Amino acid sequence: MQLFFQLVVDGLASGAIYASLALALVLIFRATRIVNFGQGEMATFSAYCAWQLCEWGMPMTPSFLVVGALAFLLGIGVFRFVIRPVSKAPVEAVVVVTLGLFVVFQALSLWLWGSDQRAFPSMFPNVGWDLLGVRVTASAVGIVGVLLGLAVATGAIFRFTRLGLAMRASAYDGEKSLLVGIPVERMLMLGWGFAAVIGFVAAVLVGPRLFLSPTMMMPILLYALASATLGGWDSPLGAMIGGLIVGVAESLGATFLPFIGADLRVVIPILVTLLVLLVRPVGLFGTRTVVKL
Amino acid sequence: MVLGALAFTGIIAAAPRAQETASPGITDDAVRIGISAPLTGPVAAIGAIAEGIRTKVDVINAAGGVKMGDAKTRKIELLVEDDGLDPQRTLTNVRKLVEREEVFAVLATAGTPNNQAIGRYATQREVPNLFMYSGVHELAGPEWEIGLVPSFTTEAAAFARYLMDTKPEAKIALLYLNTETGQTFQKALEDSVSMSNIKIVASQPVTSADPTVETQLSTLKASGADTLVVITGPKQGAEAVRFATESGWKPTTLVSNIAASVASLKPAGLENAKGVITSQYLKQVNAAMPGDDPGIKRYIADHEAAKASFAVDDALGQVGYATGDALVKVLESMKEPTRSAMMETVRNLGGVQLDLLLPGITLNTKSGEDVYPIESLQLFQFDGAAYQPVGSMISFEGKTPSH
Repeated sequence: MQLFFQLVVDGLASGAIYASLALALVLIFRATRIVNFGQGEMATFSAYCAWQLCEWGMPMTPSFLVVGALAFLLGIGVFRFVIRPVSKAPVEAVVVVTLGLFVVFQALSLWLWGSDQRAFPSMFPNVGWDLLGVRVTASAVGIVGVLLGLAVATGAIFRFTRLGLAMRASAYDGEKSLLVGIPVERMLMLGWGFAAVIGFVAAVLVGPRLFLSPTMMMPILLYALASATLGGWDSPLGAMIGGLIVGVAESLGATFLPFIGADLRVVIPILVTLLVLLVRPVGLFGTRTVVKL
Repeated sequence: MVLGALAFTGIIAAAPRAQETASPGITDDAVRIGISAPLTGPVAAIGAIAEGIRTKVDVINAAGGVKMGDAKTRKIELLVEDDGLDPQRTLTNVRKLVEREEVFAVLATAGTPNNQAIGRYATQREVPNLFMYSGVHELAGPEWEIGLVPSFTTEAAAFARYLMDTKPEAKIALLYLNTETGQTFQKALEDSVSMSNIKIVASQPVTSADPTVETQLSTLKASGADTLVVITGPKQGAEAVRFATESGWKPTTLVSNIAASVASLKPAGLENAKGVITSQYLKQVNAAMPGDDPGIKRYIADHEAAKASFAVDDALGQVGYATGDALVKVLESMKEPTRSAMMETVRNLGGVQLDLLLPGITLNTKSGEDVYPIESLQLFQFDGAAYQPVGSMISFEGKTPSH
């Protein structure tokens, strides 16, 4: 029984890692209706910049703030110069472009910093607690807490503020939004900048767990896509909870279903997502789009 | 040109043994060696091996070349191709190197699956696949290939011997990479402890694509084991080391030398790595305190002279340097400039010393009996800053358990 609870806690910890990337994916989707496959690699690139500043002697907090601002500009720049030119192209073309972002940013990190794994400074103290034989670490609790806060806050911004409404409208129907006076272009830029910052925060959170390397986010992408689909692509909180469910399902499934073993682990999140989608096609927290004729 | 090459190889294939003239890739003043290495991709760190070889070869060439067994002095021409550790690309590269560039031999091909991919081709073409960087020595092209680094079976046996001496009732939890590498090691460890009171109470496989391995480690911890043995890549090795300390488990931790370099343990926190035991066959190079070992001094000087792109304490760069060193030794003792003479030489190495091998370790092979050049290992324990030797050298000369 102790093992069961330990595995749930471990699952939540790794689920939080999946959720961090899923959150950034969902944000950019919410703001621009695009799934950005390069999101994780952009985040890794920003994390490397922060690490480099720390290596050069800048204290942790200011370097994170500086790179946070840089990440915002990076998001805007990528949208302005890479995504906007193809935004009227068919969706397949946009997907290929975001896959291109994935390749380019990974190659850039490899070229600049090499492939060695590095120690990334942690924001949380290196302690843990023993709760009835179940080990809980401060960093796992911290990651879940910060992400949950972020998910609720961004969800609230989209839901309750004029800015969030304008962003949603721009993403949903650019032409009509322009007619009612929303600066669509600026809203989309803002969406990309915003998502890039969230991605950077996610990378900062998980960097100490995964060790900083150019391919750090690569194995997570699949899990993050499953989490976002499970939670519903237009709900930040859904992405968060989807990630946690995927993490726990993977952890318990791989241990208690002996036939699964190492190679089939990755099937679990896909299977869980598939089952949920069969019952609820928009995901757990997704909203049904109603089209009136 | 192409036709000529085909006709030429046709002749070799027809009469491989009778041929006395030089093989392709070797002239009176140069020998051409090909390397396919991961210079890019997730495991680009292994590319340092190719760079380490270049370091040794550059210095040798600058001094005029190698005086080979047929009394001719030749320079070594290196051709390096990138394969990203993708076996298919390794095969394409080796084909290109052999057929278009006409290399004499391929050197230091990294990765077990990669060597499996080129094994049959090397045998068909009768091209030496020299000093593979793989801990599995029994692969697809037995006649024309030879490894260099110790077999994973040797390391497993060394770990087992250590535990029998210090912890005869050990309960082992094993974290292993779910490939030929990890399975070979697992089997060898099981065999090595089968006659003792040591038990393997749990084992968990990982794949290199797993984002984290904490679930596996929690399961291992729950098994009640008091000893953790890790045979994975550097990332998961470091994760395991951190987990072992952070979770309050604190088992005796033994980590394979493919994952135990100080540089790769650093992200896990060096204080967490205190007490970790690994096995090694190379000298510990400390750039700040080089000491007065002539081999290490020569390595550091060559590293500087060749402007090597890896850090001087990079373990993989050192493996490359040692491989280059071994290549030079082989060339020096080849009686004829032919590929079969090269294989004949590497199959009968006797007490060959290399600059970076630990004192007491030499390259020894015996045609038809012993295909493992290095069969001795020294155990080291990490003291929080550096590795310190533990006990004496463990030698399995001529007794490496076969896979």
